[in-house]
Order: sequence, then structure tokens, then C-alpha cells
Amino acid sequence: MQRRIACLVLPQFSVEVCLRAKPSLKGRHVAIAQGESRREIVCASRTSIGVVPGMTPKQARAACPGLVVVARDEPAELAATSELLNALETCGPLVEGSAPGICYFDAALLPCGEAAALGAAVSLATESGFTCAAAVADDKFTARCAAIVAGGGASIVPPGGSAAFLAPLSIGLLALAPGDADRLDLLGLRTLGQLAALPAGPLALRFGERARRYRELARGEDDEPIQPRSITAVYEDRFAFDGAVDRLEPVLFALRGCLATVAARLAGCAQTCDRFDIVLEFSAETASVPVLLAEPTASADTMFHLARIALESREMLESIAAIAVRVTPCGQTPPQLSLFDGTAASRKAALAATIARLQAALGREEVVTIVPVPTRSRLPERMQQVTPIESPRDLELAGAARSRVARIARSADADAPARVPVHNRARVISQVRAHEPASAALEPGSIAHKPVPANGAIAPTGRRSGAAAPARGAWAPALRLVDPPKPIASPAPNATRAGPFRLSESWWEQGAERDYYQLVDNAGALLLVFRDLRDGCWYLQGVFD
Amino acid sequence: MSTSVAELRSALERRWQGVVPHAAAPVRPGRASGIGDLDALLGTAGVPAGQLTELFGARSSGKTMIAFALLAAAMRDGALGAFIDPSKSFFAPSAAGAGIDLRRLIVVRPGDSAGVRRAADALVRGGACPVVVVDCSESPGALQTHHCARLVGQAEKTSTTLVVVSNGDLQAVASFASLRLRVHDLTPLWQEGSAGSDRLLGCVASVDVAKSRAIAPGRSVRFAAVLPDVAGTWPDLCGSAVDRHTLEGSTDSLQPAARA
Repeated sequence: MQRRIACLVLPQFSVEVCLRAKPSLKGRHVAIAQGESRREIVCASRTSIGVVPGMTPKQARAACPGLVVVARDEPAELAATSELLNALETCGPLVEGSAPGICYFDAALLPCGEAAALGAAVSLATESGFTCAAAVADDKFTARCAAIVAGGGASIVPPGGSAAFLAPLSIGLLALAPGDADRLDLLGLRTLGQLAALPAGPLALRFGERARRYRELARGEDDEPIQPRSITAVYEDRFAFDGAVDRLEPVLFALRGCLATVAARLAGCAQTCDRFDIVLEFSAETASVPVLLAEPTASADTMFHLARIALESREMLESIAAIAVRVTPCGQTPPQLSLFDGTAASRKAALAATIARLQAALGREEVVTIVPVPTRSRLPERMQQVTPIESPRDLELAGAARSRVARIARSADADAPARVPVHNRARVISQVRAHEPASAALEPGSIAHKPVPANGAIAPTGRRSGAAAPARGAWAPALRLVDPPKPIASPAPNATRAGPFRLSESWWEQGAERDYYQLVDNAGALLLVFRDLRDGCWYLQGVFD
Repeated sequence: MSTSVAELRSALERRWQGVVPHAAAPVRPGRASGIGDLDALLGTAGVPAGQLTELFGARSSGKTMIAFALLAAAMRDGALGAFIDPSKSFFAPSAAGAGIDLRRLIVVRPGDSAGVRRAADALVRGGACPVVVVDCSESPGALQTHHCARLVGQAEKTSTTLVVVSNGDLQAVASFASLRLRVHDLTPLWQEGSAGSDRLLGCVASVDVAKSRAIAPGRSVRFAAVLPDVAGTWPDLCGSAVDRHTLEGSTDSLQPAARA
């Protein structure tokens, strides 16, 4: 069957969504900037002459005096897209909202014809307050290009005419990788037709495998299907007891039945879930118990096992009048079973059970992952981020990513000596030299004490103590953090120490000015301490252990 | 003593009508600690899987460093790790410097001793984490005899390496541990800095085998650990690994300073 895809392009989508929310801006020059800090213009109204996407707000205001820069409102855009897709479902059976301001719908075999469908779509968008252009073609790329170049109204590319239609269009319509546009321009390739005429092999050799995709699109051979939006259904099953129940066994009995029903519905729709909620209905109130799964599943046994753990830890199981299970499909297919690793599924189930037990026993806030965030602050107590584990899948996904990286690293390491030329090594070493006094970034102060060995003689550099010829490896002394820093007495003037490393930051909020030292105290413990320059007191920040 | 042992042996032989065969317990291969010298010391037995290992020592002796190295070695193969941290002293940059993949490390921060026990029980029983480290340095009463008995039984079932970090005052843990390593004498290594101030380059730690079912107690090893970044505290985003290599190359300027 011949594919026919209609595309609706709304070039002013972000601006129009903004104007719907803030009608007072109508008639003014408006530009939409990405993110809270509004660093990059992504869309501008037609009247904003000279403003193009990619500008900074400052550049944009310089180009267009009187310009109002508004932060992009993504939730509002999502809501508007959903509203538009709802309307477009009257034009075609399958609708897709792939990106803000771009919608597709299936236009094959429409009873009223393509022109009528396009006209209806344009009028629907106009009624919703959007200016748009629409087109129909054999594939998504051609339809989008046709809508863009049409500039307004409707355009129809006849069946089989994609390549001919695309041939004179600019190569800039492709989503090119950074740098590719310049390289293609240097080669004199400026239209899609010129690119389509090139042989695939040499093109891929010169530009990489992505060039094959460029060529396919330029030839009107985009085989990407419409990915229709799915309506998320919530599956729910409820069991009401004859009287109030205060024991776990009947609750679990009812729960097993509810889960079996819900899991059967999920499996029947070829869907899975990665979490579900158990709703306990007491005589006067309800309580919801979330249960997280290690991977998307529709297995009632797995769900029941974790639900049992979650309920067993609850102390309040009095007067339960009814129990319900509420499942929202996660939109993912069940994971492919591994042929050679039969333990993977059981390992994931064990992880999910472990996390569930920990969270049930200790609370969600006490089962965490901690990662360093040195960019946020250089103060040790603010330098790490504690994140409660939301789902066991977070740990699994991190492991999968790590395995991929490790594989790549192994394959790179295998022939690393042959691939690192000498001049590159020299560059690395020079970088190291530049980096070596990294303490300079911490502004070493002027009162550094020279570490003095106990025998009173400063050992000369260039000679190593022979008593312990230490082996070297990839391990490191661990710092045990003391948070909040604990006040201590001033160290002895002759205490062995290194430093200071001066830290001064956040003067505009909770300011900190500290001189850090590594210090050996009277008991022989190696400490990280600092002197607060604001109050002159000494604090213990950590213990090397 | 030898006489009494001989008497006991003959009594047993009389009781059981024959010679009592004396067979050494089979040594199962354990986990690598991640520290070359320590692995060489422990031999094939390594850090035993499915059993309890105690790392003990005074404050600032280097025991946490060995626990981190063990976790990093286990996680290098893609396994998950767990660290029970009741004192909330876990410092992520330091752990990352030790090679731990922090996105795959479950850190449990219970508020009391009961929480420590519940967390250890859940982690060991689940079997999802091959290495579970329990930091009891500041929770001396967390594990009693019956807790240890249960944990050791669960660890054996799930082949979990249970590592308890302590100050050496946990009698129950000492009794149930199949491997006890005493860590002591963490000696700092100083290096003269280029900007006029000195810097801490690393440490030398000593480890004694206090108890083992596979090797003779009393053996010891010393090894050096190099700080991966400035002061072991402030990682450099650009190239801490490169910096480490430089530091490792400059061994001639190492000067361990004696304790004050």
C-alpha cells in the first residue's frame, strides 16, 4: 500500500503558545528563549526583524529594539500539542507529535481525499490560534520539507514524486551534524538533488555512516513510520472486604487476585509496567503504597513478591475495608531474555526485592546514591549530591552504560600504544605540568608550614625513605566527611601539616572563606581541617582513613 | 599443650574406633581486594565470598581505604555494591577517586543501630550486591552475636562478601569473621609543592592478618596509596587520572613523615 503522510508545521508555535498565555504581549516583538536562564533564542515572532534562532537575548535585543524575551513554557507547549493532536484525530486515524510545532498524521486512503484532509487540518490549527502550513507526501521528510517551503496553506507532493520535488531544495533542510554543512558546501553540494545523485559508498567513506541517512532523505526514501501517540490507560482492580480486615493474610490473598487480574490485562494489551500502587482503603481514609519494579514486566508473581515486601513492613494495617491495585503502563516492551545469561532476570528481581526491603525498612530517604558534584561547590559538605533511589532500574541502566563504556575502553586500550603518537603524549604531559599546582586554583596562602618529620630534619627532595618501599596502585586514601564541620581547638604550631588551600566562595549567599590544611594531630590521625577566616576558629572537616 | 592434644586425639580415636582423619578445610577462591600487595598476601583465598570479613583499626588507620578498594574491585566487573553508612561520613569524591562507580553503589544511611541491622539483613539476604560494607566504626553496639550468626548464614547462602569496618571492639564480629585484617600506621607522604607550599601526596598503610582460615595470622604488608586529586578532596574535572600518573611517576620526592 502506498504510504501517504501529512505534515503540519507551525513555525511560530512557541510564540503563539506564549501569546495564548500572555495576551498582553500581542502586538509587541516577542522572542522565546530556551531554559530558565534564557540563554538562547529558539523562536521569534514575525515582526521581530533580524532575530533568528540561536542568538543570545542580548544579540536579539540589539537586532530588534523593544524585543520582549520570554522563557519557554514547555508544559504549556505540551498541553497545546496535545490539544492540537486531539483535533487532528478528526483528520486522520494516526497522529504523531514528534517535536514542538510539527505534527504528522496518516493520510493514506482517506475517504474525503488528501486536499480536503489538509484543508481541515489547517482550519483546525487556525481555529486553535496557530498559523501553520501543511503538506502531504510519501514520507515524513518530504512532507515536512513541502510544508516548510510552502510557507502557508496546503501543498501536495504527488505519489512517487518525492525525489523530483526535493531535488531543487536546499541541503540545509537536512538535520546535518555540526560541521557537515560547511564540508558539503566546500564540495559544492548545495541542493538535495546533488546529494541524492552521489553514490552511497564513497559518501559514507568521507562523511561517516550518517551520510547514508542524508542520502536516503534527499532521495525521498525516508522509511520512518508514523509513531502514533498512545493514550495511557490506567488499569485498576479493587477488592472490597465484607468487614474491616486487620490482618495481613486476607489482604495478601485479595492482593494476589487483584494483581493477577491487572497483570492479565497488561499482558493482553502487550504492555508492561515498571511501578504500581497499592491503595489501602481504611474506614475513613486511604493510603497509597508505591511499589517499584526492577524492569518492565507484566508478571503477577514478580509484582506480588514486591507488594508483599512493601505491605509486610507497614505497621498500620487496621480496619482495611478494601484494597485496590492501580497500574499505569510504562510504554515499554518486556526486556529481551538473554540466551546465555540465565541469571540476569533473577539478579534484577533480587535487586528489586532488596531495594524494596530497604525502603520498606528504613524509608525512602535513607536508601540513596551519592555522586560528587564539584561544579556546584568546592566546599566538601556541599560537593556531593544525595539522591534517593527512585527505581532499581536506575542502577541497572547505569550498569549497562558502564559496561558499554568499559567495552569501548578495553577495545581502545588494546591498541593504545600504537595509536598514541609521541607528540600527543608530550601534549598530555604538558597539560599535567600545567595542572600540577592545582592548589593554586585554591589560592595557597602565605602562612604555609613546611611538614617536618619527627626527627627534626627536613628530608631532602629527591630521596625516598627506604623503610617502606611502597607498592603503587590505583587506590587512594579515603576521606571520612564530618558534616557539619566540628569545632576543634587550634592545632599545635609545630603540628605536621600541609596547606593552606584557600577556599572562598558564595559571598552572595552563605559565604565561606576557609584555609584548609591536612594535619597530623596529637593522636597521629591524619585530618582535613580548616580555619574559618570569618570567625578565626578551627574546624574538623574530615578524617583520612 | 601438645600432650593434652595427643591425649584428646587418642581419646577421640578410642571413642570412634579408629584414626580420626585430619583434613584441611578446602580453600575456596575469594575476591580480590583490589590492592596488589594485599592480594599477594591473601593468596587465592582472597577476601572470602559468602563469609564475614572484618577490617579494623584505630581512627585514621586506613581501613576505609581498603573497604573502598574492595568495593571498587568488585564493581569493576559490573556488579553492584552497597555501603551502610550510619555515621553519614561517606564522601563521594573520595570514593570516586578510589575507583567506585557511584551510580551503582547503594548507600544506606540508617539513623540508628537497629537500622544498620535491618539494612545489612536486607542487603545480604537479597543477594543483589556481591559486596556489602557495613561501617560500624561509630556504631559499636550495632552487631551482636545473634545478628552476626544470622548475617553469616545469609551471606553464605547468597555468596555475599560481608565486610564490617570497625575499631576492633566488636567481639561478636571478631568471633564470626573468617578473615580479620588489622589496619594501622597510616603514614602520610608529603611532597614539596611547586608554589611554595607542601602538599599531601598520599599515605602508606600497614595491614596485618589478625585471623584467617586460609593463611597464617601475623603476616603483614605495607603499601602506598596516592591521593587522586588536590588534598584527596577536590577532584579535578579535567584530568585527575593524568594527575595521578604524574604523581606516581614522581616517587623520588616522597617523604613519609612520622607521627607527631
